Amino acid sequence: MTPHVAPAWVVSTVDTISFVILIYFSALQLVLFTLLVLSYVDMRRRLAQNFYADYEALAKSHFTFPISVIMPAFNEATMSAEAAHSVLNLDYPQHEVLIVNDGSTDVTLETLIREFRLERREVVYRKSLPFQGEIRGIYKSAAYPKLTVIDKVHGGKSAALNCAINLSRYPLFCSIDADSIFQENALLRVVRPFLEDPDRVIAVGGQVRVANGCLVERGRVVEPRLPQTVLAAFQVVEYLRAFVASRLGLSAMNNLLLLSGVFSLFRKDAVIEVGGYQSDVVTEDMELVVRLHAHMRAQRRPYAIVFLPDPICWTEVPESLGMLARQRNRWHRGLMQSLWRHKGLLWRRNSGSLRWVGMPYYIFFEFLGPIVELVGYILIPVAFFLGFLSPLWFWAFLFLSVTSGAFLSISAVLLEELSFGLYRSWGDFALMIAIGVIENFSYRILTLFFRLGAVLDMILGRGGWGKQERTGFGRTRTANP
Amino acid sequence: MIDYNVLLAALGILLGIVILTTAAAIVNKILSLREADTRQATMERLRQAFLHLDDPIAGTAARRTIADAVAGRWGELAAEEVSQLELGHRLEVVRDLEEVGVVAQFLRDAKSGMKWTRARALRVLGELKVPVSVPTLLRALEDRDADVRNVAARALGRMKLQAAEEALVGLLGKHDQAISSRIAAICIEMGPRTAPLLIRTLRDGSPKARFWSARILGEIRDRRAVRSLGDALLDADPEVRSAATWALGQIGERATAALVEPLLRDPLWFVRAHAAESLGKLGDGQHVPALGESLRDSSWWVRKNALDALVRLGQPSTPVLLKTLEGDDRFARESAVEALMTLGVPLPATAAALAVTAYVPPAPPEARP
Repeated sequence: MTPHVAPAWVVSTVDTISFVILIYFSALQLVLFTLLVLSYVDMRRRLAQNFYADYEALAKSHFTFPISVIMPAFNEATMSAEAAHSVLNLDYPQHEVLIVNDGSTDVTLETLIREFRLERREVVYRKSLPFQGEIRGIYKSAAYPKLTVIDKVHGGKSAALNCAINLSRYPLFCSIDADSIFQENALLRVVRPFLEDPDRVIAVGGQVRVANGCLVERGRVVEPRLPQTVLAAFQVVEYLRAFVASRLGLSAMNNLLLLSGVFSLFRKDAVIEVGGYQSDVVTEDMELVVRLHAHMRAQRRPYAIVFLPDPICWTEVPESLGMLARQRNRWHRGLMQSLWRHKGLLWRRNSGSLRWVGMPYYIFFEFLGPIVELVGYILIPVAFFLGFLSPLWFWAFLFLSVTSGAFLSISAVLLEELSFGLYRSWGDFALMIAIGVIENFSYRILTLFFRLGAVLDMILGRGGWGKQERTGFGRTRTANP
Repeated sequence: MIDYNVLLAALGILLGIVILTTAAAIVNKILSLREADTRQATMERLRQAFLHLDDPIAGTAARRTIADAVAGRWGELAAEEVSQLELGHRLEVVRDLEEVGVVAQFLRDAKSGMKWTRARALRVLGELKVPVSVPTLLRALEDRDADVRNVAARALGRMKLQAAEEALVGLLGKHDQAISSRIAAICIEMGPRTAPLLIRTLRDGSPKARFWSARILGEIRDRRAVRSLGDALLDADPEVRSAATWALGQIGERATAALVEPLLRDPLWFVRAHAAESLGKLGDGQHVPALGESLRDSSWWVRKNALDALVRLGQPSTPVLLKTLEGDDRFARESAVEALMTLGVPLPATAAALAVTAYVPPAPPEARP
């Protein structure tokens, strides 16, 4: 290609930007590789612990902490009853289930009343946390004493969660979604850190996997399989990378700022102490975790927020581009909002390692990542075709971005195989490896656009939740990986 | 700015790493599938060997197969299978394992410097239920590593041997929460036979040991413990008072209600909360007025438990609840409305409007983890 004649300052600027992008990419891959190694070490330790853990005894133990399972439901008529049965039947010594009908406009409440023979009761409760949307009625059933259904005026997910926390009886609560499917023993596994270190542990998150395509029988995933649709299959590898390869590493350093709202267990008194879920944020799950970090560090109290790889919860992921775009836009806005709201963690002396590890990681790689990457993906080819950039730089950039991305994805698949090996068939395995390579010049770039859209929305003051179609299991999910 | 040769070399290395990772994933897949097959085959051979234990000819080979399986890669799983055998066969197999030195090997492994080797040995010994391993397992409860301590507690729980009882009760409260609760769970599984030891500990043990003894006695519901638990209501340690109060409620000896009632005025809220809960369980209507008073307690938990207790006591609570409706405490009035509605008692017209459900606490929350 014949180089265009361009002013020296243009060539120099392009060269410098390209160099910065290359350095950024290299730094990102180095950090992700470090997290991968930390995750591997921690996962091996935890899996060995699990091999020797006696879940049968734990299930019968009188000293296992009781748990309140909270399930907000908004227009979930098609699945709320099935989900409630699934949670009521969980293998756990003592738990209650609180379903919050958050002003559904369909027949969610009527379905629950009919299915569980619910009766309206007057209940006095402690309003420890504020919430929007008054309670219209509280329902209980003589046949299902563990179940409480709260019918309230629509106030959003945060309000529904806060309302249920007020009515919960037990010291730990677990927030779940109506279409989550728990692996057997998931609650017993997720509660373990609380039993081992009850004074320090304030929150524990489990792993979320993609349920699309899996064989589900009686509310249990009996055979994990890859989804039929390409978009969902990409998300399988993406979830593996997010949960198995990086979250575990951050958790090992007590720097994890996000536990998925789909499956997390919290100490109730700690959440009440920080004021519960906030209703004016886009992703209430992340904001709560960051606030817990900020609060405990400000108080100089020892604490731990833990991610565990083995309690698994399966969830449906979007299979249409529109849904995926809305979901990713919301997640990224939530990330920016949570980081901005607790930006003080960056300079407060008592923030400890969050100043140097957690916050910089989320700011430079999770928040700024899409901007820098996308600038790279656009600027470098343009500069190359205009002749401002040498072919070597261009190919080096392309090669680095694809191979490093492929390395991380394939490593995540390897880690999954080393630890769980849930996807048994050779076909699924080969497909995951192929996705690990292909996604780097397709799906990953696509999600970068969605995330960049979120940055633009934030700058332009556009927002809102976007319409979430919740029409039944197998259709839509909003899990944050 | 950068040496292109270095850049090319770096990219080459990166590509090499990607290829190696892919190869590692494929090799791992092959090995893990092969390993699953080996495990299945080993377990199958083991089960076949069990069928030939009584066979005078094939018995020797069967015993060798079992010993190999227990000493081999899948020792923990093989030992679990052995533990499912009927007593006669299990003792026979364990004797064989002792004779060929497998048990001695695991006893040595239990002292290894490698923590997972120790853990593996302890788990196998627990499954085999070899009495000679009890001292080793008890010592392992003091291991420097928490994971090994957990495995030791599990192994002792599997054994349920009388020889371990006294030592286990002696260890109550000496460890962290996780191990102590495991030991307590083992004692509960052992049932009433541990009661005399626990009663002794409740009298003479450390505060933590007294606390755990009271909790276990409450779970076992052994009436022999009533007198000692009654004495523990006066314990200087509030945790012990609280556990003893709760335990008496669990045992359900109605006569003890008179001993529990004064604890509704204990300075600590969690003792009062347990006292209210226990009075409901003990079912003595004489204490309804005191529970009515507790509806005005400064702690939400005490008020809530008193309310539940009054509902549980049923009809005898009605006069007190109706009287509470006339009081000036909002929460008490609302609680009375809820209780009367639950009991199916018609509300006076003036009280119907009180069926409000929320209560905003004036003080910060005080729920304990």
